[in-house]
Formats: sequence, structure tokens, C-alpha cells
Amino acid sequence: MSAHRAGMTVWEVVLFTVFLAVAGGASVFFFFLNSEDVQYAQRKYEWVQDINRVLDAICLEVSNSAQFEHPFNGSSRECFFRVAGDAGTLLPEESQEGFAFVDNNLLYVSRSGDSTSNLRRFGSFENPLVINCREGRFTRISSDLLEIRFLAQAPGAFSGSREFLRRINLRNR
Amino acid sequence: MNRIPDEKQSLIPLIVMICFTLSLVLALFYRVYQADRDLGLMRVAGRQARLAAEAGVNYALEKMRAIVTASDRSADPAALTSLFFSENLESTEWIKYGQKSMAAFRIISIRRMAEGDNERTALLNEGLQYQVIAEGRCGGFRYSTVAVVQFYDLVKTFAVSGSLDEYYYGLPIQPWVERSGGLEEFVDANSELFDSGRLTRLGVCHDPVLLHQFYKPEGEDPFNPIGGTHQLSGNYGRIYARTGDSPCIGPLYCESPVVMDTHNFFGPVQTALYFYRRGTSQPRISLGNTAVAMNSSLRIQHAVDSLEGRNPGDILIDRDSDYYRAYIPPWRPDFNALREISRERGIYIDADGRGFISNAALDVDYHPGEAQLYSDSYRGPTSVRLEQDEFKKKYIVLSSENNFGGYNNISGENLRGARILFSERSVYLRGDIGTDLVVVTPGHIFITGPTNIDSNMNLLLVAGEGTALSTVDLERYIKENSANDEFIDAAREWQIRAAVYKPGAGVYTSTSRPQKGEPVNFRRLFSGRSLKIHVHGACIDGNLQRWIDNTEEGSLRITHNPQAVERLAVRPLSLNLLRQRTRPDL
Repeated sequence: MSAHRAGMTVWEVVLFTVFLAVAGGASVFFFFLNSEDVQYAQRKYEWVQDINRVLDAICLEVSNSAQFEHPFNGSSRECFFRVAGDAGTLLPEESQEGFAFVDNNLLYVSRSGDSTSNLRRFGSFENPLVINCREGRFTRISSDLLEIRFLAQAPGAFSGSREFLRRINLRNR
Repeated sequence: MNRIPDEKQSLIPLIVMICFTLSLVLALFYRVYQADRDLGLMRVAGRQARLAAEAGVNYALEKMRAIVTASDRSADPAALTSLFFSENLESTEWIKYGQKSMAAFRIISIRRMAEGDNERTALLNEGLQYQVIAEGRCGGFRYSTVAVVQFYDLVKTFAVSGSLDEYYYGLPIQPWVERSGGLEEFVDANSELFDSGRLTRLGVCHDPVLLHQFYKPEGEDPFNPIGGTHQLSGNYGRIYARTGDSPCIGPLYCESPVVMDTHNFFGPVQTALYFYRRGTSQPRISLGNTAVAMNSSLRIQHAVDSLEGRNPGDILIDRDSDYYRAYIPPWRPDFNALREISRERGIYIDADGRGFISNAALDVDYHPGEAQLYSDSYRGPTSVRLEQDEFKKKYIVLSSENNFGGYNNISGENLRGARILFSERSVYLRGDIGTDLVVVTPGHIFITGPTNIDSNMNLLLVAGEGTALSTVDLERYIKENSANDEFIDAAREWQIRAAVYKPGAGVYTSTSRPQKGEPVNFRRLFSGRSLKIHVHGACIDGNLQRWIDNTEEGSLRITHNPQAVERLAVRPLSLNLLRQRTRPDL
């Protein structure tokens, strides 16, 4: 029997190779995890999530608006609405609030009779809400449907941008 | 002893290692999948919690509607207290929502708002507003929705609600459906319009551009040709015209778009869709200069690129939102509840025509009988040929006239003070009622002449299959007494003092017959002269177009009497959601 044990059998060689491959693959994988590319992808994922969180809050605010003022029709770089007052009747407030795409930023603004001014923060989000965004548009598809669409570029990226699109059902028009 | 050979012993650690590595890799994959799924589910749960809260408000709305129609508290809106609703609806229990989700909602508060009526809002009574608060939860998320629910006292607010929809909108797809031989064929040929929701299968248009294409005077055929046929020479706007005066003297509500030419309205107008003025016409509202539309005509103007001038600014004020929510759901009577109320506190007439008052037999003759009648012919929104109703049922007669030897079964004495009368059979009605009365039947109510006009009593007619006109009696009287022209002229004008649910369910005469392809119409019934109808009260739902087609041209009038059901045991109330706000609970 011992005569047969001299040297390595075929399956031992195969097994050794497999483990070697797994170990090699794992180390390459861990190097890859540590690399710039993955860190960049992670930052990008976080950035997309941040924008989605901002968009969630914007959608909630716009769909809750007691009266939607602008755009009445077609599309615009800004939108304005009146929020519901805190009294039980939920009648619209006098002042108008809104969102505007200005200088490649998405801003939370308020509008009075003659002027538009930036507000400091929107819920837990600081103004500007989104930076580096282009071709931002609010489109009133129908009287109860508003679409927000913009292209945003990840911070630190030199090329390529991502499109964000939300459709908001205006509960109170 | 059974010994494991050496070469097999050396295999064991290897197998353990392989299994361990594999399970490690699998666990890693599963963990990554789970983390991803959790993130996704959190987003979904947030949405579901929000939807659950809004569903709670809609659930409350439907429950409130059901409670009100099943209760006689609707007789007096002041009796619809916060307590009445909150006892029935508020709870600390969660109601599960959806089939596969963990979402749930509950209604935590219903309060009546103590607002006085705002005079600026002619078609809205702020005194009938309720605040409903519902909570929704899913996963770790909680949202709450605050909503304002508005009640509409239909008779008090509108002279006509929903009965003139066809009159002001026509049948814009009917000629095309008829030509293509069926609705399905038409839908197949124009599937893009239906799939996108711009047009419903009943022909209601939800898109301003399409509406303009339908009704533009002298426009082209907007539809695709149906297999084997050519396009029609023009659009529906070529045959549709709405000039002259409105039959509605008072506020008007339409569920479909209102399309008009130089037309005169006698009260505010509200539509759940569009208020569309054609071409350069100049519609006027003589009283209460308000037109409320869910989608204002300004929106149409933008859509058709301002081809036409705006509505005259000094007459029409139309708005997209503000105080109003344009859609008012139709009122649906709860016949089972009305049957119970009449058994307990009114007159109940069973299927054999025997009457009972408060469950005790009543010795009053209701003249039961049986008839087979054919109505006028008409077209529905998707008819491919003329249609006709056949009435082959049993009936009773409620009469104060002298047909039955002067026997009056609706005198105050014979009604024994009952305020509601429920008949399982259809009802023929003539004469004046002795008390304030609600007449309810799941079948038809036939009006056979001037009704309740010499009385100052309230009358509400609730017929499940609609309220129709029957001229059989009058024709017989004219024939038997060889009445002269002067008599006919006086007798063909019927004044009806009542609030009528589902009017326009056809006209029945002694000359009615199966149509056999030829339209049956009852204009010029009395030696060349036609019937004239004038309702003092209100009309709810139904379709007045058939009465308009069979009576003298331009003679139908509905004059609003806001107090028409003031003293009755049942009052048509409708309710909808006016405003809402959903926020996360922190």
C-alpha cells in the first residue's frame, strides 16, 4: 500500500490548485475592495441616496401643498406652492414656498409679492439641497401631476452625470 | 471492530474545510443580499406607511358615506355630530391594509369643524366640514394624514346634479362606435387613446387637446379609421351645438365636461372636468357668476395654444383649486336601510300591493295592477343601435285624483302621518300628497301628470330604476271626454313640485310599441302638441336628455327650490375629500 503513496495523486493536485485559486481570488478581491474605484463607487452610491432622500422630502412637501401655483402649465425652472395652514381647515397660507434651479443648484426658496429669497434650510437639509445639477425642470404634466427632472454630477467626477426623475401626484392641486 | 482505512481518514479534514469555505461564501452572499433587501424594504415600508395613512382617510370617507345613507340622521345635517361618526369609526385597533404587507391604519379622530358658511364659496357649505385624522404604519415607519371631508347637501346646493351630463357633453364617441359595429372594435382601432387614459370607454375625455379635437367646430375626424371603413367627414363638433338657455334655473353640477356655445346659464356651474367654450361663442351666467372646474378652461386655452380668446373675465371665474374640489361623488340611496326605516316608522307596501304602517296592516287600497309598456327609443354613449326599455312589471297607484271614484290614498288621513313610503312594486303617482313624504321603490316611479303642485308639502321621489313619465292617463281622458284644444293646452303642461332622483328614465305612452328599427319619439303627442315639464325642486343623477327629446323643444325647466327636502326623513347627502396632508410621525 505504501508503494502507492509515493508522490501526489491527481486529485490532490486539483484540490491544491483550487485552494490556491480561491486564496488568489480572495486577495485580489480584498485589494479591489480597498481600491480607489470602489471607494468612488461607494461615495457615488451615498450621493445618489442623499439626493433620493432630498427628493423624497421634496415630493412629500409638494404633494402636501394646499395650492399649487406655478408652473400652471408646461415647464419651468422653478415651482411655487402654498402650504396648508396649521388650522384644521388646511386652507392655504398667504406666503408661497418653492424650489428653484439656480446656478446649477437646487434651492429651497420663498416668494412674496415682489421678491424671491433663499431659505436657510428645508427640514433637515441645508440649502442648497442639491449641487452640480443641470437642466433642472419642473413640468406640469396635467393639473394633478408634476414632474421633476434634472441631471446631476457626482462631486469630484469630471465626466458623466446621472438623471433624476420624480413624478408627484398633487393631492390638493 | 470496523476500522476506517488511512486514505479515507485523511479525507475528512479536507471535506470539512471545503464545506466550511463554501458555507462562508454562501453566508457572505446571503448577507450582502439581505443588507440590500433591507435597504429596499425600508424605502418600500416608508411608502406603504404613507399610503396606509391615506388609505385610512379614504376608508373613513367610505364608512361615513355608508353610515349616513343607512341612517335617518341625514334628514338633519345638524344631527351628524362628531360623536355620531367617532363612535362608529375611531378605534385604537389597527386595521390591516394590503394582502402581502405589514401595513396597517387606524382612524384616531373625527371632528366637525365649527366654521360658518363662507359667502364667497357659493357651492360649498363650510358648516358641513369634518376633520379626519388617520395613522398608518409599516415596519418602523409611521405617518399620519389630516384630511378635510366636505358634505354636500345636494338638493340645497344644486338644482341639477348629474342629470344634465349628456345634455352638456353629448355622445362624442357614439357615431364611431355605431359605425365600427361595437365598442371593442372601436377601442382596438384607437387603443392608444384608451390605454393612455385620455378617453374612457364611456366616451369621457380627460385630455384638453383631445376635447378640443372632438368639439372644435368644423374639425376633422380625430379617430383612426376602423378596419375596412373610411374616416368620417368630420368630428363630433360638427353635429354638436349647445346654444340657447339652460333648462336648469339654479346651480348646476355635471360630472362630465361642460361644452357650450353662446349659452345662458341661470346659476353657478360646477363640473368635475372641463368647462369648455367653443370657438368665439359668449356663454353667460346670469346669476352667481361662478364656474368651478377641476381643470379650468384656462388650461384648455393653454393646451390649444390660445387659438381662441379667453372666457369673458367679468362673467366667469373659473379656478383650478382654491376652496373647491370639483368632483362630487353621486348619491346612492341604501334601499335596504330605507326599507327598514319605512317598516318601523312609515308605510311599507309589499310585493302584493298590501300596505303596512309600523308593521300593522293598513286598510288602504293602493290599486295594484300589472302592465307591459315600451318606452321611447334612445341611444346610450356606446350604443350601436337604437335602444328601448320594456316595462313588464307590477305596479301600484298613489293617487289623489278622481280616477278611482274620488278615492285618495295619499291624503293626509290615509297616510296616517307617515313621512316615508316604501313600495316593492313600481309606483304610478298623480295628484297632491297630503304630508311631507319620501316615496321609495327599487323599481320605477311614473309621473302621470301635475304632481304635488297645489300642495306646500315636501316630496322626494327615490326610484332605483329611475323616474319616468307616463301619459297614458291623460291620453285616455282626452279621448274619452273629447277634450278641446284649450283643455289640451292646459293639460299638457305638467308642473312637478318635488326633488327627483334619477329623472329621465324614459317616456311611456298608450301608443308605445316595440321600435323595430324605427325611432320611437313622443313629441307632438297631443294632436301635434307636445308635453311640457317643469320641475320645482331639484334633480339628482339620471339623464334628463330623454325627457328633453320627448317634450316640447326648450320647454323642460328645473327651477331650484333649496328647501325641497327640508322637512323629510331622508336627505340626499354626498361627501368627498376636500384637502389632505400627510406627514411622518416623529
